[in-house]
Amino acid sequence: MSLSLKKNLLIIILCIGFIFINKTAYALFEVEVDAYSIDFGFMNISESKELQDKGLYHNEVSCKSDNARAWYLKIQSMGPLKSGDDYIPYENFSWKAIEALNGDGVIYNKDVYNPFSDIPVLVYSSGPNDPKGSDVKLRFKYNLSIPKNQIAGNYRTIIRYTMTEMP
Amino acid sequence: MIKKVSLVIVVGFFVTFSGLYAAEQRIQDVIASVVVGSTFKLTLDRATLDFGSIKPGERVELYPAEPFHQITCISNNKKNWYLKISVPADINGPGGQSLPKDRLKWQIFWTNGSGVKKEGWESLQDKTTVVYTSGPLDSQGDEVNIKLRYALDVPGNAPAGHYTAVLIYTITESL
Repeated sequence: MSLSLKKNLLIIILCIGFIFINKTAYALFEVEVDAYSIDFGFMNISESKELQDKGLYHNEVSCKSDNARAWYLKIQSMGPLKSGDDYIPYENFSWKAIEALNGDGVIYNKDVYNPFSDIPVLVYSSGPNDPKGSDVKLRFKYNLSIPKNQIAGNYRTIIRYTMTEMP
Repeated sequence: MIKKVSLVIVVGFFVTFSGLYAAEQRIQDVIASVVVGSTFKLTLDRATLDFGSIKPGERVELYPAEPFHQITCISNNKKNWYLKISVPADINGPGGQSLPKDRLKWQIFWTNGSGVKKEGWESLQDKTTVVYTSGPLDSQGDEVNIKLRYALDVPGNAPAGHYTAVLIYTITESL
């Protein structure tokens, strides 16, 4: 084998080696939601509504990781429900974590309604088996109360779920 | 050659270990929404004005020093509205007799609204009359309460009998 060929072969082997290591480093780590809307439909002033149209919950957030590192899930609202200059106060819109299927971690404030906030709030921290590829499914339901003096309109906001590894 | 290999190794280590030690983060967004419906209504806490027995030429007020009833208006439409009163016919009595509708008068006694109210006694007329015009804070879903009282001036030559009339209150967003 010529020297030139040996050089090129060495470079190729090194590249393959790093690709393999990176493939391991950048393995499975993802979050998905089974429904992309939290839609309360039509409500009148002073009315309250709970969303749990799948029986005990409204949507399911699926967290998957095989990075062998602990992770946690947070939830936040990117602003209050807003229609033009009018908004519904944060304290009127809340979430509740019901259960975590396939997970052996901790649900914080389980079965308690928590008002939304623009600051991310901890929902779940993974257990020992969660970062081994389990598909941990967090189930949520939501509650909204319309104040008696709320202006009529079409209100919207974005709810964000953030899955983060422990450094 | 050594430089090439060294470069590959350095870049490779940098990429690999930055991936190994950087904390991963993933985000998923969903849209939350609701349509808050329009509320536009009025209610009365009492719906019958009974002046009782009155002698010809007498004036009776319901009541002399306090309101008779309350009309509650609610709007969350952020638009001006008007409370109006009308009487479709004169005050009908026995045997086709009637009293002119302007013998019946109304007055706003009190309101918590921020709008414009008619001051003093007003006589009922053939045309619909604006009782109250909403103010800036009156269309944000809060109750606007308007208390009224009434007076009836019976003519001196009014025949005896039982007289009735219908007063209609309307809330509209157009004048």
